[in-house]
Amino acid sequence: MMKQKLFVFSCAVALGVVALTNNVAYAAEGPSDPQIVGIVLAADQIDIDYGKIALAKSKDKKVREFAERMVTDHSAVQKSVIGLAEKLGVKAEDSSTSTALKSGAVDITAKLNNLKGKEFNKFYIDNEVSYHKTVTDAVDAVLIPSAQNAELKAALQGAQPLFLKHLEHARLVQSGSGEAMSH
Amino acid sequence: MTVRNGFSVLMLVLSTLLFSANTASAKPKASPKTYTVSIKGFEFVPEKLEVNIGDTVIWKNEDIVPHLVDAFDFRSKSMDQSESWTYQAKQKGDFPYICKFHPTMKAELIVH
Repeated sequence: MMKQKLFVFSCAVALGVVALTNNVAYAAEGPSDPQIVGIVLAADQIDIDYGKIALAKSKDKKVREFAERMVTDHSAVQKSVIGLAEKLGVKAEDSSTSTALKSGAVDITAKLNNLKGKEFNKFYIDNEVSYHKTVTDAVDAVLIPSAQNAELKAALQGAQPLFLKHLEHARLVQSGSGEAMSH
Repeated sequence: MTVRNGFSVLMLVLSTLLFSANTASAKPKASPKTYTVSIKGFEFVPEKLEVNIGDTVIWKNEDIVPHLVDAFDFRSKSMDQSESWTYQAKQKGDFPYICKFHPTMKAELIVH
């Protein structure tokens, strides 16, 4: 039963990744600046929401620390993106990518809400690794090359180290290390 | 010259020689310096910093998210954007450190 459940969860993660990757491929045609803002805001909010669920459900110290970081950091990015968009007079627009991100998040959120204990922790962290990998790839391959406004492009380039560090952090927690140094 | 006067002159010469010798051998003490480590783009810049005991190191967060310097022997407060934290080097040694919030951010402070 347990193995069956884990298999279903693994498939869900895999499907989520495939869906996001397809979206990225679709977006390779080039989203507009308002669409880019919409994609970044959607991606940020999704991860904030996942983090809040983890903080409400997980008792694992490393998972909680990671989740707290996701909520704090992505909230800061969110604030920064909203501020920049206002400054540039860019109004966020939905696109096939942001819509697909949101609908994919509905499934992941449902699964997170249904899981408990170690199964929850594993699913959350596995999804965070996949999610950040997809986001960093999309930022590099689609969003940065597509951005027309120089300030928006620079902001995306500036945010990329954050997504990469989150990916590395998620992998540390996934591997069971949790921290780069033992204290 | 009396014996007494001769003795006084000898003492004066010896004192002068001793003072000169002391002055020559004493290494001039460098005045404490202040160094800044920027936290920018999720990196500590410079990644490796060498200072002397008594020097001051200021970590300044230039990222939009909080960072926290964490070594075995010292730990900063949480630094929001544009905030900084000051530490005075008090003991010799190598102090590798990380950002507590982003544990793959690593750097090193060496105190001589």
